Amino acid sequence: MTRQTRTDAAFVLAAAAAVAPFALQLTGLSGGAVGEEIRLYVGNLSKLLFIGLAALSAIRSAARFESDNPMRGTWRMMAAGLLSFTAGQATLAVYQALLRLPSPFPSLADAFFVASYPFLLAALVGAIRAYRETGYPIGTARERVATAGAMAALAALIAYPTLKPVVSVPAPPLEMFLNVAYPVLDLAVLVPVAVLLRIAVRFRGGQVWKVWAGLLTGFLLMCAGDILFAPRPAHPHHLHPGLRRPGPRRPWPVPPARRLRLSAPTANRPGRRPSSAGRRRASPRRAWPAPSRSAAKGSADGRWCA
Amino acid sequence: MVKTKDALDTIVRMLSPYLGETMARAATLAHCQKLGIVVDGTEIKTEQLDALLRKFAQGLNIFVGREKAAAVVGEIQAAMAARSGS
Repeated sequence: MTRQTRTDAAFVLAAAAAVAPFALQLTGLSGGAVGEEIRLYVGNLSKLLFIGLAALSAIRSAARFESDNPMRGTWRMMAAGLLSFTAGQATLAVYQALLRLPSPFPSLADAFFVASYPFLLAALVGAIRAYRETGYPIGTARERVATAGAMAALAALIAYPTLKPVVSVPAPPLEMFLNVAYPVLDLAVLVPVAVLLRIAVRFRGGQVWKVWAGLLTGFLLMCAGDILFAPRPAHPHHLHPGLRRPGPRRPWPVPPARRLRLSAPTANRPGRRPSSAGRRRASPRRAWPAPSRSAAKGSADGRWCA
Repeated sequence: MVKTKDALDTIVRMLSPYLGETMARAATLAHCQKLGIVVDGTEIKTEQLDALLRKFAQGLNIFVGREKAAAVVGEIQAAMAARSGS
């Protein structure tokens, strides 16, 4: 077994271990109060660890490129975005895992999360530009524009039903901005991600593909999580069935004053994704159920033919 | 001079771990076309080979940095030398 294989295996195992408590919950094996505790800590800490590792890896990657290499700036942007994301997640972890309180919304974490998107977008667009300069057959400009256009159209189709109920519920300006900004920014990120995936798939079987497949899959899952768990209208019947499940959702004590800041049960569910979990805290006026009760082309055969 | 097929096969084999075999082969074909190298020709001239490797190095810079790209090109040259010597 090579070092590379061992590293890959360790990552897969760590990822599986982090996801297991939540997958078990989905299958009905919630584990009661102990399970909630495990999900709270595994969720918070694993997210912090993985995002932090990604940020450090991006910093190391940037440092390995020469100053005139376009990928240096790209990886720096990626590092800045991931560091900002890490800071946001660390803020949430302080509330949820250390203070054992639901994080307020908006909070400092939201500032970090929102700030990360311009960096991530710049990094992804920078990577597309840099790969164009390789001179390798990564597809035509028209193909890339078509991919971006198709993704943008799909994003618009997703955005409409996602955002319509969000904007229909009155909320303070900052909360409204964040509730709209997160899905919009997630969908915006998906456009360069789709273009890069189309480029990267031509490198399948090689290290270039492996790196980008991992990174871009992470972005896809991040965006999918955000959009799937985007804020919903206040009426309980509009909630996802899983969100309506009665019973206490929060194992950690909540001071009475904090209860006024609580939102949907899912938003405070331990172990939710940081970017969406922490930040999707609706104000009381949104009338979520009360927490106490709701809870390349080439010849494949090796012959040389143009 | 080196046999064209041998040279191109060596390049593809050495670049496949980085670029994947499909891209390595497609890039080789694309670069050969740009440089006017006849892929089904008998032999490839040394200067043509150098130009081809320079093209690859320019692209590899973007993926792995200049230092690593130079190392990969060096490995390709060494593999070709070993092949032509055997």
